[in-house]
Amino acid sequence: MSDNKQIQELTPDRWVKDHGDYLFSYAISRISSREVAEDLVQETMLSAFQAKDKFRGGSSERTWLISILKRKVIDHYRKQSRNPEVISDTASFFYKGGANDGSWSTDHAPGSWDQYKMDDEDDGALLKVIQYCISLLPSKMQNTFSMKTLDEISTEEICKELGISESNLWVLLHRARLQLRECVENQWYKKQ
Amino acid sequence: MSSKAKIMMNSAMHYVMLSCDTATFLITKSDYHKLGCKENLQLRMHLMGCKLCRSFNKQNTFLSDKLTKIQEEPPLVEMSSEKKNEIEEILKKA
Repeated sequence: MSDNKQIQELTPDRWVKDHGDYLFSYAISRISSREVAEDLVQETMLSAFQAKDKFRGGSSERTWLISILKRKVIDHYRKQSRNPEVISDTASFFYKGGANDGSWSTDHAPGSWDQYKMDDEDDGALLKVIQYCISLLPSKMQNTFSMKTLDEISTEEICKELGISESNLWVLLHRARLQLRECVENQWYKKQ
Repeated sequence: MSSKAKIMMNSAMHYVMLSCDTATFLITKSDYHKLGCKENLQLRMHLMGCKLCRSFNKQNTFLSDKLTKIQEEPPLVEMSSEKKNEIEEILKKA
């Protein structure tokens, strides 16, 4: 059987030029430190170079590099998860005890976003604000949120990698969503 | 209302009444998984009566949509040229 499919060739001398910013953008959307993100891109390209004989050409060069970077990001999360960090609950967002138990506390209740119109042009700027707000989350919360939301990794695997229980994971995701919403409101809607 | 009806009402209320804390938890959960029948019903009932959680739900859905965009195509951020040069040097020597 003839196979005319062109076999993808690797061009390591062009990696930085062709994929550097793309890989960096991927990393920085998951790891808020520029320095760490740059180091991970470097490690990725070096590992890829050393493993270049294993590249089978089944995917594009970029997809292959991203798959290596993805693994490096998760390894970084796992290293970070060894640092002790208190998992905060949703306490400050809601009243505890009394007649209002579990209701929104006045300081954190959602405001209205309806009066603001969103142009597509604004979208890029808004995405940057969202990324900034994600970067403000404490690291364990941020990593859990990124793995679950941006990488769609299974609950089971996240718990294993980060050494947290399933109920911790849900507390972290809940808290992350509450903080993210509030941060975007403060950083975007209240500044318009 | 008869006392029996009151008791039934009461237990029905307890069945459907969620706190905003739990309601937003279920909203978060529903971003990733399908909710169970009871959870779904409880959440719908809560949202009917709670304007703040309706806002949260709407804004959270809006943000989820933007997060999908970030996932599919992360906004382009340029790496520093110093680092680019450094990596190019390393690759040359490798």
